[in-house]
Amino acid sequence: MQQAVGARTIESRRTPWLMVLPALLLILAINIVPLVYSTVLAFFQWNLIQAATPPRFIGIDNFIRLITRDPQFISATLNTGIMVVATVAVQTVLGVAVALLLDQKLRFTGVATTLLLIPLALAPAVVGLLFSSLFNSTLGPVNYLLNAIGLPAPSWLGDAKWALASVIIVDTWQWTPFMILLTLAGLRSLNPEPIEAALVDGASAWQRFRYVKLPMLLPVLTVAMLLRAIDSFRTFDLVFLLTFGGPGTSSTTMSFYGFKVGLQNFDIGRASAIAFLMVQVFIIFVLLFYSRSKDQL
Amino acid sequence: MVRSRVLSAIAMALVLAACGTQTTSPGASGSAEASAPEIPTAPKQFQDLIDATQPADKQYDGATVTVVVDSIQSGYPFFWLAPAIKKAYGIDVKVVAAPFETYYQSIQNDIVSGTGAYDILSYPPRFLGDLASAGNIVDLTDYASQWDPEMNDVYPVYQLYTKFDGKLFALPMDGDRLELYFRKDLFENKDEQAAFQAKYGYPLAAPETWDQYLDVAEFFTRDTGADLAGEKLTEPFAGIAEITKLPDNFDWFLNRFASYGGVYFDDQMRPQLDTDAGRNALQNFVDAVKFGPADILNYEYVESFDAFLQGKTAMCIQWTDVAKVAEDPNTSKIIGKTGYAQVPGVEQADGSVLHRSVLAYNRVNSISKLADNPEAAYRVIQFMNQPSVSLLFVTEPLAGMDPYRLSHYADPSKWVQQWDRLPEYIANNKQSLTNGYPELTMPGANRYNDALGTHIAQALAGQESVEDALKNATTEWESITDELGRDGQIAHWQAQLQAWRDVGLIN
Amino acid sequence: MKPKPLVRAAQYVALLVVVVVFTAPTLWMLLGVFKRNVEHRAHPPVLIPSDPIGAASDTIRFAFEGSPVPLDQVFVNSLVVALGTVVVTLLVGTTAAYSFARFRTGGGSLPFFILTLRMAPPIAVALPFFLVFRVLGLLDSQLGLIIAYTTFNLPLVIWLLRSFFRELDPSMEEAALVDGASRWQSLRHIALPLAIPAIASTGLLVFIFSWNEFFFATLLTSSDGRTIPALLPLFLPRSISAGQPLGASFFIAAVSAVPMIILVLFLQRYLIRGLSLGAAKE
Repeated sequence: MQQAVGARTIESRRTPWLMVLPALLLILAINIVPLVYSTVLAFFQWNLIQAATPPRFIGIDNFIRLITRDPQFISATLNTGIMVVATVAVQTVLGVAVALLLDQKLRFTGVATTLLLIPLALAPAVVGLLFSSLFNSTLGPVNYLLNAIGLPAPSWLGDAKWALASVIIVDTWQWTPFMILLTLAGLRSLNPEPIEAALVDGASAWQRFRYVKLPMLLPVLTVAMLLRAIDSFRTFDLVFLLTFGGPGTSSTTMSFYGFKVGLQNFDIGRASAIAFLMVQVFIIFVLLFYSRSKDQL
Repeated sequence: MVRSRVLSAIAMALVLAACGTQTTSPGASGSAEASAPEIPTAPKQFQDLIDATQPADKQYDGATVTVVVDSIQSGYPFFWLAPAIKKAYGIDVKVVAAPFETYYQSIQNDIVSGTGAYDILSYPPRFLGDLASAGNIVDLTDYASQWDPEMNDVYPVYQLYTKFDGKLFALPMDGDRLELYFRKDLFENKDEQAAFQAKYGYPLAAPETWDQYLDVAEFFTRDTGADLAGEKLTEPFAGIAEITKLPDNFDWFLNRFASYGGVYFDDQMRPQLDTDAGRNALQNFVDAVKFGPADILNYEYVESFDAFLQGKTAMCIQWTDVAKVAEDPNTSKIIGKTGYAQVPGVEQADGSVLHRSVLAYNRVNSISKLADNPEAAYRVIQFMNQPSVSLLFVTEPLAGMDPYRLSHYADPSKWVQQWDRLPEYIANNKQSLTNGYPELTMPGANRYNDALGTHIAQALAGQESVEDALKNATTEWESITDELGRDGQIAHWQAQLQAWRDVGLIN
Repeated sequence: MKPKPLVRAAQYVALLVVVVVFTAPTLWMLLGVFKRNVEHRAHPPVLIPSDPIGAASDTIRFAFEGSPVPLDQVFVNSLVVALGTVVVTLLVGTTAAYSFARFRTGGGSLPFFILTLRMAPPIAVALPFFLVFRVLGLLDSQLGLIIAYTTFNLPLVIWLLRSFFRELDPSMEEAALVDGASRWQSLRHIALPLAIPAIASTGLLVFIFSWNEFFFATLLTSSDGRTIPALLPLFLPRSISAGQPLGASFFIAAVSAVPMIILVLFLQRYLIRGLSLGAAKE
């Protein structure tokens, strides 16, 4: 009897690890090893096209070149920063506003809520293709509508001042529904008591939102904003199909630039250095995410 | 929740049904044009050729050869002629297209990775140096001595694009150079002529120089509501259409750069971009795009010629094939209205004008070192390259291929696409051949082009000044040269220069 | 307290605008399949095609005939890769999620660390994949893409199912353990049957993410292994001949999009839960 219990304890102590073992091994092989490999490559000069020249260790030269002598990298970094800040800000504000609307006792909100899922179902590549047609400066319906109501109709994708904005607008189109639906779910699960109490106290609709609902929504909104920031930081598909990084380099993001360097010029070392720097920024996001989301997830 | 799901599903279905069943909607103007067949079938001459094809000296039964092309369009000649190749050699031809913007990557990927999905590479020779110097494509010399590719009938400038280090690595398929197209009807309009004369003090004609090009472009740039040749415009009209985006925009810079006397490098491979020639050329390009359609900075091949063919611009600098589509009712609204001229140039001290027409892109066919059956692959590209076969696809409008053999121009009546001013077009074609200016084909060419094209695009977009763009491109060119090995690059460049001198492309 | 009629009216107008803005672009895509080239180029934009059946059949015929890789094969690739990723990630991920939920294996930070891999910039693993796959011959293969897609879907599966198992009342499993069942048996016979809906929803999410993926698909396939998104750039107007149906790219896009739209309508709010990594509960 004693022995049986002992065996049982060992079994149950081992079982949890046996259950995660396949996943951990797989993650080690396909996530961790490639990440380490990529980090190592960042310190080498290696161009795949010159089959004859093997990789050569060059220390931190790739990084020095990126930061001091590569204006395209700097502009890609700036573009990515603008992209992250703009998409998160716009999508959050719009998302909360529309969610409040859908939370009113209106008819058809059910259908509307369901239809909002559609943009989320589309591949970003599909969305890019779709909007390259919608944003066509002469034939696209967007400019037709703008002209019809007397607004200036810019050359969205053909003007360096508008190309990045176009990418941001399209990303906003695709992902605002996510913020809307998430906020709506949050609103509907709020504890009604404080809201009713505020109503009794004669608080206006705005006051009820600002001082009662918003603070209660904030934790889940923060997580959602961080998730959007992290996604927006990696933007690639949209740029590829919408602008291909142009005009000039005005809509080139870090991911897109890394792709160009690594997989069009086959400059593996420099592209790995770009990836390495991106991972460092990503880690900052993750730390923020961890500190904000521990209780949410 | 269930109810709303059902409701929205019904809503979607209704809209879809509405899209799908409006068969007899009123007000369907232009339906005659709309019902034109849109699937390309090979012109009749191709079928005649297939019917006349006989089995060749040697058969390769069971062999399948895969060709990679840069767009669905450029695969048509292979699609159409596959039955003839099957009849002649027993070879099955399979055509694979890879995306245009990342074509270099796709080809290199396939070889560098060892995948070997492609046997025949159909590509612009700006990749030739990289492919040949790394041993990634097959030396064709031995095959050529056995089955003659009839290279004597190929214009010397296009022979150049098939060789690396003096050895034959490719067979030609296309003969590219750039031309100026203009709206003959507008240029011949009396009122427009008078207005132009009054404003600029010289007669309206196809511009000879880059300065005149700007004048004419400015003159024809008009807003909605303005008059054009006596008619009120319902949408804006622009002066020009050019290619402003990678992977080709640098060729539109080189037209100018070369006529201002520029060369890529000096003898020691120091970049010669940041020179008077470079600054004049880029400044002219920057000035010109202001007279383009609103989205000109998004123009690659199709967008740029389409603007001209849809009647939205007065001029267009484009490849030779555009004249053929301009006379095709399926694609063009300006049939019979296209005039042909040399790409503008620069006036010299003696009063003559130096035109340089870039021999841009110019597809050739090579065989991957990973090809399963290189001999069968050679027979395919040699078949395509024969004078009588290539004549068909370089003279039809769909595939976008252009004449590269002397014999292609011998008898205009044999051209697949026929139109009234074909002889005039051919004369202009031949003249621009004498002005040809070559693209780089040495190792690293694609990276040099990419760096230059990026900075050109930035200058056109107003992100960089002309001076900065050229300085930055120069810096990038230097570091590419250093990375590839300066001594080796100097040797390649000097060989390139010598080859150009040998065929008289430069002095 | 009823809102004033004017406010109500404004709210309905706003609702209408929201619905139109977020659905019209998708309808524009579907509409594109039914238009002739002249209608694609028309100004003002054409909303009612003159010959939708004829135009659509020409467009679809061109897409099939002109496709550089047979369209049915591309469709099958997408299907196999997406299903394969679902199977691999669920097989490996479910037990791990259960273990993390019930035993806090590896403490609180290990599951979170795994979750972060879901969000890492793909370019960081893409280059190594490319380099290693070329040696292993996995480029342009379905298996190669399944491996690539597992990198970001497995962390998601583990995280979502972990949060689900945590919500599951453990008392029944404990009762089974007292009756002498092993941990594996109680997972197999008690927790798993209860988790079927969550596992199915998670599987659907993985399917959608894999089906829609573009970056790795562009990078790691070149011809026979292409999936639908990787085919898209080949049908852009600039890649097809002048005069060919401009609707072809819309058709390929619709082939990609329509099945996913249907799936998402079934997933409803689980989609938001999945996308927010569990921050929004159902």
